[in-house]
Amino acid sequence: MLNEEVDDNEFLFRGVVDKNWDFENDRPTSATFKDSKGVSVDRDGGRTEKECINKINLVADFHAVCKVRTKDVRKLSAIVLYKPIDENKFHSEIHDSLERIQMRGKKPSRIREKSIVVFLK
Amino acid sequence: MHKRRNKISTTKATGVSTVAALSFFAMNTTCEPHIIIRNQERESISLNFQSTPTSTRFNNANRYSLEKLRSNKKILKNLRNLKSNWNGYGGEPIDQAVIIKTEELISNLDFQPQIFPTGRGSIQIEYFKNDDNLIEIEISKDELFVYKVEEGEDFEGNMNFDDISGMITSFYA
Repeated sequence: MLNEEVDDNEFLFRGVVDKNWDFENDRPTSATFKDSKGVSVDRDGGRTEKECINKINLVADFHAVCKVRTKDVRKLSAIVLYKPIDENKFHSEIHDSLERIQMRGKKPSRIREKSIVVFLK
Repeated sequence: MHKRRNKISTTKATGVSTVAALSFFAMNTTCEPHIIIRNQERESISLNFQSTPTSTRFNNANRYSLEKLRSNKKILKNLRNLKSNWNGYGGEPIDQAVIIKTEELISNLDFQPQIFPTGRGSIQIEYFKNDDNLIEIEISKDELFVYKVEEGEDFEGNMNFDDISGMITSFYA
């Protein structure tokens, strides 16, 4: 059973399709972190990095997988919510704030800046 | 209509007293040689027209690249085909109006951006020098939302078409 509160030191993993990969600069675009329903991520939940990557790669044909530390997201005043679903008990979401779901401008850009690529096709 | 870059070379065809004065005038896409022949001798002239123009502004090769504009239009065309869940996270298709709006915007920019779809049905165009110097513009049906960092100073907010064009030009000045 995972804690309801995502720990500051947990990593949040996100798959990146090729359409959201910046091939000129070899990094994900911040557009990856722009979603109307909150940005879906997988919290590590005590798993190894390899286990996290393997689980994400079952979902789609991702070009890359990146991770960002929860603490870095919270430093930007964004919110990390644990929202498990039937097919994924690690599913979590990043929201702009308690009042607003969608991030735009600075927050997605800085999350992209802080993210680390851990898998690249 | 595209202006063409013409490569001109001259080769001396006959001997000693050959003098040929050449003047060229170019109007729109054509460039026709006007040849003045003296002493009944002439130089042979070859004009090599490049079929693919690379730029309409010759003062800066990186400026207004037709090749990049063409490539970006192709990217936009492909975005029309995005289906629901295209990003593996329930990504929304891009509305045709957003694609048209983006095409209109990039067609009027001096410098061509990179183009990416977002999961919420909008399109983001980006200019990136480094983390302290970048521009990201999110285009949706209702607004153009800009996030800009220049020398570490950031700005975010709505802008209109005309202001965006000037901002990007000054970003590369």
